[in-house]
Amino acid sequence: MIELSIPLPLRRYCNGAERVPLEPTTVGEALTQLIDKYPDIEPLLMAPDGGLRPFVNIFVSGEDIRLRDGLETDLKSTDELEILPAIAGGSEALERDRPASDGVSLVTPDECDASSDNPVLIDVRTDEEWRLGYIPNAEHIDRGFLELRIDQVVADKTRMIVCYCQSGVRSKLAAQTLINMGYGRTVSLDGGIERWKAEGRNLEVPPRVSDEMAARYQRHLTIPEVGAEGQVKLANARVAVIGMGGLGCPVSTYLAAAGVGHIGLVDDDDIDLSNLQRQFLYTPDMVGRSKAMSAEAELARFNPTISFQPLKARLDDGNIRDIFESYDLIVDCTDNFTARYLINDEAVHQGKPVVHGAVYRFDAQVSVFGLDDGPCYRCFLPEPPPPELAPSCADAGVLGVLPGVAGLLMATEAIKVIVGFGEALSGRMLCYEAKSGSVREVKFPRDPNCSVCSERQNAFAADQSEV
Amino acid sequence: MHSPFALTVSANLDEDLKRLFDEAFPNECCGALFGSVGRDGDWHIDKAVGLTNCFGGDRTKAFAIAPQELSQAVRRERTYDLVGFFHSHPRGSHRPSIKDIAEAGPWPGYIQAIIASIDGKGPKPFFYFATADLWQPVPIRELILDD
Ligand SMILES: [Zn+2]
Ligand SMILES: [Zn+2]
Repeated sequence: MIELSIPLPLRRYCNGAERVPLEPTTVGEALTQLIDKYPDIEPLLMAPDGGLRPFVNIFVSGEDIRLRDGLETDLKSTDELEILPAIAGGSEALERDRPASDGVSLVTPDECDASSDNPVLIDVRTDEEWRLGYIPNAEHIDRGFLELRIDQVVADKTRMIVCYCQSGVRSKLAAQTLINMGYGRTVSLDGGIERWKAEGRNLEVPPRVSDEMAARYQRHLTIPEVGAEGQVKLANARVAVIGMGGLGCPVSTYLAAAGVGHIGLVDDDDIDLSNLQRQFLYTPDMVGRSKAMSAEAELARFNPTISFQPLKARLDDGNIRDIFESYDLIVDCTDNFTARYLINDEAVHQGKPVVHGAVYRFDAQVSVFGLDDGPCYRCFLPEPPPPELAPSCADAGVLGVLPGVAGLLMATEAIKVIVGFGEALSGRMLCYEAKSGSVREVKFPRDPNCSVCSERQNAFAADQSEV
Repeated sequence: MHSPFALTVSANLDEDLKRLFDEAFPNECCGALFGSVGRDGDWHIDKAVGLTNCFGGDRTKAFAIAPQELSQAVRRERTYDLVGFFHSHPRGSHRPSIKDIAEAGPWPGYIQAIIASIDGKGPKPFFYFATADLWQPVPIRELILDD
């Protein structure tokens, strides 16, 4: 057996293999066997006359086969076989070997609209051009990244692809590249987006952020996973922070800083001197005043663009439904089981996710409940523990910084859920233990018999409403 | 939205490329870039290996990488992957020439670095991702911890 090393750019044609084991007696046989296995690689290695393409060098145990017997070179079972590029260049212009694109078919905008093949439209222009408007439903892959990204956008090589650019020149070359890569049904939009526009068709414009927003959230905009699109999602998001104590302070502060557009601040309590050890939005002169109102005044100072809805109220069966209806995401910053179950049950009912956090002395835990098909709080903990095992923060005490740790993790999860990147802590409880300085994760599934979120429960509720 | 291509390089790569530029001056230097491509598509360059410019004519304006040396370097650096190539433009711009793009055309999918001295500020590498008909500039991603 002989192993043939595949250079990086060709591995996509060989299922990603770095080395392919073969049983050849000559170099020519090795290539034939490789092509039998991976037919797509043939045009990249072989010229139409059956010889090696120029720019392709093959080495047998470090020796160029052109210095031996070419494709006839004999192989021993101990030989190593390597394909390598020939690389050259220079500052003098040379117009040979430019990729030909004469074989690319063109379609008109009318033909594109009328196609029954449900083609994927791919915009190969730059980011700047894309931002000024694109054909509705098009995918954007900058020409420079086409080879790298195409398989993430179009997995099926038999799918029809329509490439377009500004005027139709670049997209023709791009289409040729895709055809060479095995996307045989790729065509180019004649006249590009200019003709599309000139014929009176609509363009879509990606969400735009104002200059001030662009400046303020510049560090977000440069993260591809957030970007302008994500920042606009944050600005449109409606988040209720329930409980403005140790968890609510960091959660609301970072959500406001991140640009979450609508934030509800719900708490019935007044500020107590013992709160100041961890609830950093409050100062000694505020003792005795409403937490919700005081927090709103503080938060509005450093992000005046955000609409806060302070609410001095205790959630109960009578008001929770109306309050939750104004929000898309609930952040549970309460400190007792009664409130957590109340919040969970109503959120499940309204189909809204809950970011959960809790602290106890040196321990903090964070999770996300009711997200998509994920478990709810009752799946995790069907009944509240007996009171003697669940002392409140006031009775048990808490290290002042712990709600900060949990609150920032909660704010992070909230932003992930809103923008839609990464993997939310759904079905997972992240537990931080300050004493040992360790983090562990507890996984838990959705409970098919959950008294609140199970299918059976839903069916039952539906039956009842029929009556 | 597709995340842009992310490239990181080892700390001494810049210095090594500058040295290769200076050593070859006024000729073009050339060589191979070794590193890895992560599963998430992030590229990393660990080292640059200078190889002989075996171009048959004026080597101040063109280069060709000695094929035998490339093969030896690949075998020597087998803990890394061959992720790309570099060459210098001793008196030219930091942009690829038409010849650079045309000659690399049959091998899209590599990193290409051009070391050039622009605005008299001394040699500096510029990184591109080569496709069949253009070289896309690739910024080197730096971790900004805070400011
Ligand atoms: Zn060049
Ligand atoms: Zn449940």
